[in-house]
Amino acid sequence: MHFKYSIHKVDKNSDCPKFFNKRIMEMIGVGHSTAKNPFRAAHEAASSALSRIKGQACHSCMVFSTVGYPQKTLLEEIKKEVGDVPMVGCSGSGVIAPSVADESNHCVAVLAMADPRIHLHTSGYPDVTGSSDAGRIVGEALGRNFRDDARCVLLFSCGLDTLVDDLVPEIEKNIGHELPIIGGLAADNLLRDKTYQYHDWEVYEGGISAALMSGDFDLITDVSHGCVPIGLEMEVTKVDANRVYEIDDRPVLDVMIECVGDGIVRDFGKAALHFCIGQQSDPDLIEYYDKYSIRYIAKLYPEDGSISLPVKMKKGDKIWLTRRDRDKMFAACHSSINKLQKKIEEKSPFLVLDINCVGRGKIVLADKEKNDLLSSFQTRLAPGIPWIGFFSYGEFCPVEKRNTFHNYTEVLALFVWR
Amino acid sequence: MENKEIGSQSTGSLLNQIKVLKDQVKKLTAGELHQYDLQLKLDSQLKTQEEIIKLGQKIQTLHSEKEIAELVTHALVESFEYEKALMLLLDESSGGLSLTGMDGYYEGQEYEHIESYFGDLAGMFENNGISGTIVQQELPVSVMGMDSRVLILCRVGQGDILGAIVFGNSRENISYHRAIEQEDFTLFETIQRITSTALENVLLYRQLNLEREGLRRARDNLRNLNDELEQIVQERTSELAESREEYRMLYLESERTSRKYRTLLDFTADPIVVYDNRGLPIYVNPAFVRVFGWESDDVQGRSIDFIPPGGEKDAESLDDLVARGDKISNYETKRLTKDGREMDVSISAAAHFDEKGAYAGSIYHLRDITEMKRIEGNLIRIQKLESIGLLAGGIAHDFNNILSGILMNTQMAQLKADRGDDISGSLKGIEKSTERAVKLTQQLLTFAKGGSPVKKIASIDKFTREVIEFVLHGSNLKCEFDVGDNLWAVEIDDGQMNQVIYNLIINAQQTMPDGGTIRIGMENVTLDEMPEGNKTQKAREDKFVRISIQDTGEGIPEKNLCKIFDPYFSTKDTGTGLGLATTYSIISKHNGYITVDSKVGVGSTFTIYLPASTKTLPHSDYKEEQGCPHEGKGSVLVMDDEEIIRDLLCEMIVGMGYRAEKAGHGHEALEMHMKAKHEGQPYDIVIMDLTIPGGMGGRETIAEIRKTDPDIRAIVSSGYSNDPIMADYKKYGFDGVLKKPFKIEDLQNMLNEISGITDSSK
Repeated sequence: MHFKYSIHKVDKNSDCPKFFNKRIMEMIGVGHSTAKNPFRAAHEAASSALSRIKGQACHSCMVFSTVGYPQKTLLEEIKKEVGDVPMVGCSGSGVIAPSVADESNHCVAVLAMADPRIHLHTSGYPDVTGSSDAGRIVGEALGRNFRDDARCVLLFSCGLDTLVDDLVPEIEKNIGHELPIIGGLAADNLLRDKTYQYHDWEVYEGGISAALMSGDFDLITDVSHGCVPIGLEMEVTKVDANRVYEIDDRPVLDVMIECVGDGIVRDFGKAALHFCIGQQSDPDLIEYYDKYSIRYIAKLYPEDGSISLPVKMKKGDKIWLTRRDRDKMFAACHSSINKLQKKIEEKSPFLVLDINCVGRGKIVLADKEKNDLLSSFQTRLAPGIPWIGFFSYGEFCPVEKRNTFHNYTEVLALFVWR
Repeated sequence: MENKEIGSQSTGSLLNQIKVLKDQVKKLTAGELHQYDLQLKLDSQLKTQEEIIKLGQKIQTLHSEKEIAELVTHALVESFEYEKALMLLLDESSGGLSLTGMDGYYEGQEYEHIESYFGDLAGMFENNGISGTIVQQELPVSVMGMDSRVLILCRVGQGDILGAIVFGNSRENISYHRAIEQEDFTLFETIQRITSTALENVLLYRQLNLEREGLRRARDNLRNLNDELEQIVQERTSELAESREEYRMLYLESERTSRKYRTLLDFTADPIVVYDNRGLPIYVNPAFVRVFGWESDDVQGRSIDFIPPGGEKDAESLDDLVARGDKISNYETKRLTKDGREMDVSISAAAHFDEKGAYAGSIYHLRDITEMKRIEGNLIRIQKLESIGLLAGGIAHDFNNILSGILMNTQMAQLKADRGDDISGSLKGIEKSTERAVKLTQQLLTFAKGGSPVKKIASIDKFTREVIEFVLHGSNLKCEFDVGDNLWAVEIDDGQMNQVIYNLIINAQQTMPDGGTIRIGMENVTLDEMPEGNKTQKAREDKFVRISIQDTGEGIPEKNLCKIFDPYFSTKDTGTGLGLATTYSIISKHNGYITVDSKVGVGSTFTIYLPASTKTLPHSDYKEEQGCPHEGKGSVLVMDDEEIIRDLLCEMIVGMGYRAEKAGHGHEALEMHMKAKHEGQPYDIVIMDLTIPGGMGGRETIAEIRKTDPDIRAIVSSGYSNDPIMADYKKYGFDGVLKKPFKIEDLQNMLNEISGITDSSK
């Protein structure tokens, strides 16, 4: 499902000199830590971020962390460093920072913003099980604080219980303005137990956090894919919203076991990273997107062999089982970087938000390979620029002016001064 | 039909191909999952290896146990991804484990109680023996916030335990940390090896540093010396010849000094033994060989068996004091010669040290004082006579007064009796005078004793007061007492101690011819309050009673202070120089000691320290028994050589209701006893004088009587109240004792007691 919005075009004739970005860069800082001690980690990450803004007052903040830390303690300690400023973020299965893509149980990344030309208004809701209500409440809150220079919505929602088809339209509708939604579904290092969302230093468990980001900048995004179908096309034969019971008149679990073996039952968390459900994309998007929209399996119900997805399905939908494909992923990444380079032309972004599917991390690449690849992208696209993100259970990124939900993709959002 | 078959075959073929395809997909996906597992495992192993290498490299650069503990615990948490880690190292001083490094404990309450688990850990290692690694999964109770853990014992090789590493996870956070897996045993062993080696290296490094520091200092010293030497050489080249001569002279002087001391040791009359730090002799001088009989070769490197039986503890105490650095002076004790002869010796000893100042052994100087002791005994006796001589005038005066009282009262009684007047007043006067005479006699008797003290438990307060009262009777001196609470009892020979107090008081009196005040202080003191200088005493006793006698006389010049206890030293024209020497000797015999502080023009204070007794004072010391009139029954045989006493005694006994018969000596008493027994009327009680000049005394007589009549009750009576038989009468066959002179009440009490009427002793 896709949602339309009007994108703010990059002014290709902007004469903003490159050194300007350099100056601004020093007013936005990213720091990270892999210390196991939450106090030490908070201090390291926050003070590192603050050191890059060189003592200027931080006015808003973004935090991504893995779930090994006591979350509340971690945030309290970061808050002590950066101050009680508006904050948004969530837990991930890893964090991304300059030259680092860490998927350990203990890593945290902090973005501190001091530039007065950026404004962040946050909102959140602690329970996303009723995704429509949550979307409406958050959307209304953001709408009430809408500014003319609003550029995008940052959205971080629970990766286990969010029903995107109910959540996103409500947000869009209640903001009352078409804005691109960038973000992802919070993750928990494949434990599939609980995810956390951060809203103004509050920690939600299975909730939603969001922010309206305003300022004198443009947003340039791209999404890259990496999955291919396996086996034959199948048909959804029994479904209730996002709960799929049967495929080809057989319990989904039976079908999956037949296709991929009983490993999926033994270790669902791991197996679900390898195998997703693929749907054919809208024909008018294929050119800009991919032939398949991938849906990861959020939950497995062994008692009746059904699964739940983050989006709704209909009886008769044609689907494939898909698996990640390393070559395709690499090729798509490079292609995405090239596209982005073209889009920003001579400009340099002042911030990059990187939401990467957990299925594209260490599961595909060895740690060193992954970090080297990230470094190469960062060097090519935005050398030395604040870069932050996390490994997610789902990604939000517009495609052709439509807010789109993805799985198994990497979303790169480049923030460029106008 | 044919088409149908063909269609059916095609469908079948297609389904077959689909099946093959599905199987291939299945295998492919299974392979991918497996590859994923392997990839993760490989990543993990690589990371582990990298971290081990990093740890190994970093740990080598550390130089303290604390740094190592902090690095290892930090690595276990941050690099190897265990939740919590502790390192406990063996504390050399306490012998227990002490927390040296920790990581993973973030919230106060988690590590507040860590200390309480140390005992548990130590116990676990004790029980676990030597292997050094314990893997504990699913602990029933969370220990130090861990529900699963690994305990690693760090040791030097397979030897000394250096400490322990403990790390693990809580159940709550297990998902976020590296699981405790048996398959990681290699990792545990590697950590154990790396850490143990690093700790061992620290020990070696420290040792090396010490040695290096020593070498550096030596090198610096050498360099400094060289520099100095060079300077000296440069400055004094011209004086070289002279210096050389001076050096030669110094060398010769040094040689001479060495020879002198060697000669001194060789020719000194007193035995000297030099011991090593193990207590074995390394040198004995010729005097030792001469006095004790052992040849030098007999004792070198062996222990000398010259401690008399029972003196071992005393000798050990002495050795301990010397080893602690105390100097011993003139400690009197006994030693055995090679031929087993017991010898009185005065020991002076001190430790000797090596060039680093470490204890290297001891030097014992033993002076044979056997002869001196004998002379001292004589001195005491001589001095006693002198004292008696000095007292004689005063005593004669007192006795004359007493006798005058008796004589005059007797005459008055006769006159009154002739007139038919009441004579009880005169008789009372006679009794009073007699009591005074009794007291005086008892005091005189105490001066009649000498030699080894016959000690009895006593209250030094009461004793001292009585002596001083007696000595200062009629003098122009005042005496003030300052006595501490609950003064401990002492064990003294009252005769000898009487002599001590007498001597000191007389000295004080003589130094204050115009009168004045003598202050007597008495208090309890413990070992800590003892003055330095008589350490050997400390080794024996830990409680003392201190008696100080302070005068305000002319004082003793400092030059004389060290000599006043020497025999025959006196500054008085009429003095013999035996008084204080005797005093010193008596106090020594009581295992006490005496000191003196004096300042010319201010006065002198003599202080005596007497060991406190562990016994308590007998009740009778405080309370006199009261007589108990009673009508006696039975027969009593009285044996005494003095007719007057014999007759009076019989008269008194008859007056008490007994039958009484008398004998003049032992043989007569024996005959009478046999006769009475033969007649079937044996005596119930015998009272016997201890000493019968020229005849069989009480001791022999009762021994004979007991042979035929073991149940007879016997009382010994004597004017020699200090005779050992009087003190230990039961041992000699008597049932009671009467000290002459005694009062009728004393006789009555004794007869009552011995008859079983007021039995307090049988």
